[in-house]
Amino acid sequence: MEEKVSKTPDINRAIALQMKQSKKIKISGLKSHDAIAVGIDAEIELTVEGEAGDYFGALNSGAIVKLNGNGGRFVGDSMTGGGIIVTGFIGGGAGDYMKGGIIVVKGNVKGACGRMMAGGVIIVDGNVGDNVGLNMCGGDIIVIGDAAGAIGNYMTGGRIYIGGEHASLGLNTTITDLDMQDVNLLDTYFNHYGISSHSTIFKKIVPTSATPFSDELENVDDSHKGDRL
Amino acid sequence: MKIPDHIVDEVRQRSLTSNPRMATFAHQERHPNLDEITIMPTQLNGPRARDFHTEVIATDLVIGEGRCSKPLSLDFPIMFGGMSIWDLTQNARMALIKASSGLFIPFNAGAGGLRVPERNAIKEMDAPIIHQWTPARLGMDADALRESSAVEIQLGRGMVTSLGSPIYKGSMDLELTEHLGLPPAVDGYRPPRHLDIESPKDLKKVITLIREITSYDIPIIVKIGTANVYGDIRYCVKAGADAVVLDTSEAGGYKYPQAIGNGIGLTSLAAITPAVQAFTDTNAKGDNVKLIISGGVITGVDAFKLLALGADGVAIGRGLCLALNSDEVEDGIPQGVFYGTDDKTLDVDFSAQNVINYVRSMATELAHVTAMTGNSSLETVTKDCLRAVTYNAAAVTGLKLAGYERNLLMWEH
Repeated sequence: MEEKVSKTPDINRAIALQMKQSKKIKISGLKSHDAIAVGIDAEIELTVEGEAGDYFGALNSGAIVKLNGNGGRFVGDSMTGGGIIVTGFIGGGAGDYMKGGIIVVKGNVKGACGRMMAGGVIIVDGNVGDNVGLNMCGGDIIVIGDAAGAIGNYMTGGRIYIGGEHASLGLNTTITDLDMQDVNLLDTYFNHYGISSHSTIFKKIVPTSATPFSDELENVDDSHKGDRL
Repeated sequence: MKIPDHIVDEVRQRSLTSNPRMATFAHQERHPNLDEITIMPTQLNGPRARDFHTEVIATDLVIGEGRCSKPLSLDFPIMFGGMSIWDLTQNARMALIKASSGLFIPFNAGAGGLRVPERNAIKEMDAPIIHQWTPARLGMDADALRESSAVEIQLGRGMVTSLGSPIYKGSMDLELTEHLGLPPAVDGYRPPRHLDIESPKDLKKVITLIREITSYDIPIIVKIGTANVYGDIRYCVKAGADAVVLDTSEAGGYKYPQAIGNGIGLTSLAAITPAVQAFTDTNAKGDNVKLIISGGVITGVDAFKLLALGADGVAIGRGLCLALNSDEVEDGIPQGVFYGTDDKTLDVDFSAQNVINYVRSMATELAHVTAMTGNSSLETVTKDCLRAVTYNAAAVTGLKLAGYERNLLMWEH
């Protein structure tokens, strides 16, 4: 079924309408519209041609959404499941607050990604900006290219894999060697998403402590620990 | 001269632990506050007094009228303030849900969303619910947005506006940690601001995102603390909020650093005038945007004062907490209400009824005072029926000073 619409609410309404009839949907001609394909819980496959604005695929929980083009900021924000694949570059904030699912970006991310992330996977087949994985407590971020500064700042969980250079580490982060589980994980993703890289060049960044804030409480009198939440 | 005990205690705590004293409930003696203004009833020289017992006094509040397809209609302009899932015990939250159903005031889930039993209870009772979109987004997903009667974007809160804080490992039970989507045995974090909101334009985009997910059905409320009140409220209105909740320095407070909470922000009385001015300058009232003030409201008289000063509604929190278990209050803290305390003795039905009684008493009082000032509707109430009884209150509000019966000269412009 073909329908011509031009505004964000109309586009999302058309997607919702088509979801009732098919599990494979395609839309084209997107022109930087914000908040397209948001909050989809159905297990559909949605292909989008054009340039997306901000919050593309935000709060996705079930759909596999492919964007053939570039995207704006906050792609996949707060998503809990499903997948988003972007063939071009996107703005910062991809996968912020993410709790599940997977985001694959074939180009660069112009800024941070995976901040406050608690679960899921972000793969960037390009470079990323500052503060990747800021305050993340779970999930995996895989950057094939270079990362700017403060990577993983105050992360308390999860893993960040970097294939290229990184400008500086964030606080509470440590670089470790990859083990076999890491190698298998990366190779599986690379094969599945057609990424031409090799796991042997990667380094892994993990939290130095999973409880950096609680550690600060160690010196506090027991009678006052309950005062902190 | 003897150094006051609270100063000795503050210094002792800091010297022993390198941490400040924590407190629950906002400091209630900050000035200027609502006790510094008084309501002037009508008599001979003014409109005739209305008879509360025989006439209808309109106190309803509608949020989102003409702006979304399912506006929020309340019989009286009193809302529940948002209290986080890690602030209150399960029984306390269940009692508030039950009370909200009885009063048809939305239960504000606060940060962290709803536990499964809470969600089931709300569905079973068909109770209205407000979900909060917070800087940490814990417990938030598209389903939560869609089940909401309204969504509240929390930019700031009460007297700890813009204060980020860790979630310490073990400070929540495993069930709650799992519900929030946090991995076990790690520290979490609540950032001081939304990572995606750095400008009014960004706020507008977030509002669009939530409207898209909720199909433009429900009102979007933006909650802010008292920082640049005039400027912030202008931004909220321009960004498309259906209502703005101004959470003042008299609002909120569960285990907050006392010195910070007591030393920042503005009281409701000090904040409302620039808030109303921002509404006027953006034609917010004409566009049906509502102003809700939270902080320092315990009685219907308190609520009336804020409404006469230009608010459309009030939100309450401290009164609700006390009403839940007013029989057992130790050091000013109701027992079994706050997370981490034993709530076994908190009877859900009994506590819910207490809250219903408490809020109804406020609503009745509000109608009473409205009638006493010669108004048959809150919509016609103006600040002409108020007087400041202190110089400071007259200075921050522009109200006539009692006795002087004029505005202070600084307001004559």
